[in-house]
Amino acid sequence: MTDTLLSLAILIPLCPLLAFFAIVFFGRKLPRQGAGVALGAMVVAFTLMLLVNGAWLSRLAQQNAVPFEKSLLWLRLGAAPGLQNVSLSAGYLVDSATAVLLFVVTAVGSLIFWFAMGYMEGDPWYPRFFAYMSLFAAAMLGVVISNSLLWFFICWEIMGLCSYLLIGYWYDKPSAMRAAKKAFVVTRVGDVGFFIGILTLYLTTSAHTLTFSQIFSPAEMAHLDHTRWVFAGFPIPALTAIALLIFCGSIGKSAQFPLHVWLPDAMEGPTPVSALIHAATMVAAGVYLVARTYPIFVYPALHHGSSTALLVVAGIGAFTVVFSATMAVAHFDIKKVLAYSTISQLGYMFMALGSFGWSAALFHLMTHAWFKALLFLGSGSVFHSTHTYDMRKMGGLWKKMPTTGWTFGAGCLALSGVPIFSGFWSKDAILNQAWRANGVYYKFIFAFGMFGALLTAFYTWRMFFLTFQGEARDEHIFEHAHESPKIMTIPLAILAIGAISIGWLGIPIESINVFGNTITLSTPFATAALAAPEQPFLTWMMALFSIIVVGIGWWLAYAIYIQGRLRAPEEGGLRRWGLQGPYYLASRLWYVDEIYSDSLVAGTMALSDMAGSFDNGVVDGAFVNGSALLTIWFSKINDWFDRSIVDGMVRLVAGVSGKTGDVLRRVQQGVIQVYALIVFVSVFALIIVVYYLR
Amino acid sequence: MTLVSCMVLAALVFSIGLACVIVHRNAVRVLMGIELMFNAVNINLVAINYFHPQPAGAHGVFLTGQLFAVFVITVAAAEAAVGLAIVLAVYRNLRTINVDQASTLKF
Repeated sequence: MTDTLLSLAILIPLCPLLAFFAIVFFGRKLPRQGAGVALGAMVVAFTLMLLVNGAWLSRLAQQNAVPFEKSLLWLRLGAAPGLQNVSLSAGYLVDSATAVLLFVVTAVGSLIFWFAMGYMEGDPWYPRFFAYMSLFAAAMLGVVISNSLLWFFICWEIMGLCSYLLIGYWYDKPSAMRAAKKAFVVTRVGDVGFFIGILTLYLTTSAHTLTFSQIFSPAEMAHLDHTRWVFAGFPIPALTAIALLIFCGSIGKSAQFPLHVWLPDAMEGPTPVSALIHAATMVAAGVYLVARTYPIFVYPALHHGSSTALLVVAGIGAFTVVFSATMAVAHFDIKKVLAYSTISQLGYMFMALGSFGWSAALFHLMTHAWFKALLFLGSGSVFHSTHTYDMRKMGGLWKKMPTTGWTFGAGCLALSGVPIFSGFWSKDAILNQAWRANGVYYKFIFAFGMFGALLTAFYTWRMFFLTFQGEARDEHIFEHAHESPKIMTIPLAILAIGAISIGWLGIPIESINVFGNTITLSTPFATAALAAPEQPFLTWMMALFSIIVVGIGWWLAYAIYIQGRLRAPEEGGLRRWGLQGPYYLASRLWYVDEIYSDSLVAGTMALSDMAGSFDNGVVDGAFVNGSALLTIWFSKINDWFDRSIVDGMVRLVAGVSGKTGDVLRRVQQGVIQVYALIVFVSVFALIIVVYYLR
Repeated sequence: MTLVSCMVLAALVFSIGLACVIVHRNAVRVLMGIELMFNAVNINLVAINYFHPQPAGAHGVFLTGQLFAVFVITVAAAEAAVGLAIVLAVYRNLRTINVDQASTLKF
């Protein structure tokens, strides 16, 4: 029974995929121009998810933690030299990570589709929006249930395509198209590393497989661990190299430093797109990738004491947390602040993964999806009524838009990590994990995380105070502000309830903690040994410390923006601390975009210019024009030959005939006597010839 | 008198006739020359008949040559008549019987 329900998992991505095809072919003729079909498909997927997750949880309850997997042989090529029987399989699996992600994508996705039905009202390309969103949902769900790196990568790339299509949804806006191209190209850079990682993994495994269950078998992992490649005289451990290459894909997709540059620009797309793709799901796929391939990362730590790959993951995550939080502090566009916030929170997830906190990372993924989607949709609701995202023009909107206000406030409470709300429990789990992990570097990572929490609280409350509290800064906007229609506010409310309560699944009390106890990796890779043991006193002290930090952040925002006691950073408030310089750099995004465009982009353009001039000069000039010239010369020779020699022969024949005729017709004198003379002379000649010359 | 001398005579007459045909410009004179050539042929025929009256192994009197000569005379007469008619026609058209001037059918 459980198995039957679990096998329904394959249908979950198929629902939005069918919706995509239906909308593509029938579009406007469908109810509500296709939105109904899209939302219906997501709701069906949600129901199926409930069945599948229920079946999985009951399986766990029976102490059976083996992932449910079904796969079939998809492609078999003959024996190739060096490889025996190259074959690829396709299939799906259900385990704890799958269950979490399925829940997040279908639940949050359905609510976002519901909101988008109202938000995108009046858009001339309405069906196209829902077609792309459905395709995206199908691809994301495909990533989540795939059991091998092959289909994972295929669906990953489809997600990248949908991100491009949706960012550039309003394709008549040049800035949107630039942003879409930037997103696609930057994630592609990461995907190159990912793909190389996949290929090397395929070639290095003794069984030559990409299926997770086969790669993670103890024998295969031991084989990978012992493999060393020699590169320029240095032995490189295969496992670390593959892990880092795979992590490249995550860096690109989850917008970590240095490939974070696409996410702020991606805010050009419609707000539901930002909510679904760039907050809740797609960017979380990078985290899911590391979580899925976690054994590759964690094996060296389990057997040799430390894992370079995990340290790199944690380091990049921690750095990104602080790096993008500084940028969030320095911006006035709500969506940009939320984008930097997303990058920062994703950094927390990678920090968790790097600190052996697999379930903490997935927990934060889940809570973040709920409250970030809520915040994005809330900003969409604000835009719907004020038609601006610039916080400098807002203020005092709480009076005009109470529902949006309290839901947004709930999201802010969750994001900043106020106790009871979901963000607190998941962020706390991460910080706890970072503190307890074995290794001195993790203390620095913990420090980054704490500082990041301070900044997060500050920019979150800054955002809330500037938008909803205080005095209205623009009278015209304040006049026209109104609450959004129910079709938009009901999903906001549901998301707010989720943002508040979903974190209760991970409260670190033995009896309640679903996340800590149930959602764990299977035994060979249990990471409990890699961290200092759980000490309840330390846990609660840590919680208290983080509450204090959040409180400081909140107090700073309150003092600056509500009380006006301290000077705001944008007005030079940091000067007395000597931090005005870094603030300016942060507001200019630390010039990363400029560095890239002046070095890499300019280099590529220079290369393409060289190629272009080579193409124009050499290929077009020498080869094309040159061969044309040769053909012309050759044809001139032909022409001469034709005219003088061939025609000459013709003229020769004609001339000869004419001259001969001229000569021969002189016989025709017209005088009979001449003819008679000729006759008789000829007769005489004949007689002589016959008679004498016989 | 031998056959050869008769044929020589015939040849001489023929040549004179040929000379008349070729050299003279007057059409009537040309016709006269043609008559001479006919007569030369007649001399030839009769001479041959005289010296070899019978073919080998045949009996009776054979006058083949002389009969042939009679035919030739007849034909000569007819031909003279036709020739003079042509001369008359030519004169009507060209107002002259100078054969040199009847030479429009040339290159």
